[in-house]
Amino acid sequence: MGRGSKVPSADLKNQIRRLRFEHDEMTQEALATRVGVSRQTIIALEAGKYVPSLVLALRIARVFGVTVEEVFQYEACVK
Amino acid sequence: MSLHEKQAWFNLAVLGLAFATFAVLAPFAGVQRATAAFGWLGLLGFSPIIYVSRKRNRQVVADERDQAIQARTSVIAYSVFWVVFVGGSMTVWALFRDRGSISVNVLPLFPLVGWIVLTLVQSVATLIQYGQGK
Repeated sequence: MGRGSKVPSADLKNQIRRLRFEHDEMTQEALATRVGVSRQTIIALEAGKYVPSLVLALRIARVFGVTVEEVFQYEACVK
Repeated sequence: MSLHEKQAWFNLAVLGLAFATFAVLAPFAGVQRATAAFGWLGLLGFSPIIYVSRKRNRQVVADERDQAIQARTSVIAYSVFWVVFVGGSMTVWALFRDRGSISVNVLPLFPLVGWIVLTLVQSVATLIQYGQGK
């Protein structure tokens, strides 16, 4: 791609931390166990450093009993 | 710390031990004999033991993020390996082309150095990737 071209980048925000606290202050370890990942992955997700697979996103949404869109918000921005 | 990070640290510790032993032995025994120090690299075969305890406790050994990091580090390690391999091959050719043959003592160094480069780069790349939290 040429210099100066505008590349759209994904900015995925999430509400995992808020949802955990709304669900009896669920720990990161408890959420990690329920969705089948490590606690480090939950930490990376909450920090917005890791973009989950669709399956993991669905699993997390199912644990909280909400839709995927309520957990993850996609904001496309052009850089 | 994830299991892959522990394995990376273990790999680096074994590599460090091998190189330190080589550096100590080389002045006394000569470079060729000192290469026996790389026998320490056999310890790398024990690194899967790191995974046993977690598997027994039925904890997650490696999730999708770990696999993604491993995939990225493998690509980085193999890319560097090929650059070193091609560079090494051309260097040997440049050094020995006048003789018309390559010493049989040089050829075993190729898989040894290749393996060391692969392990070293993959371990360092793994620690960097986890350090960045990706």
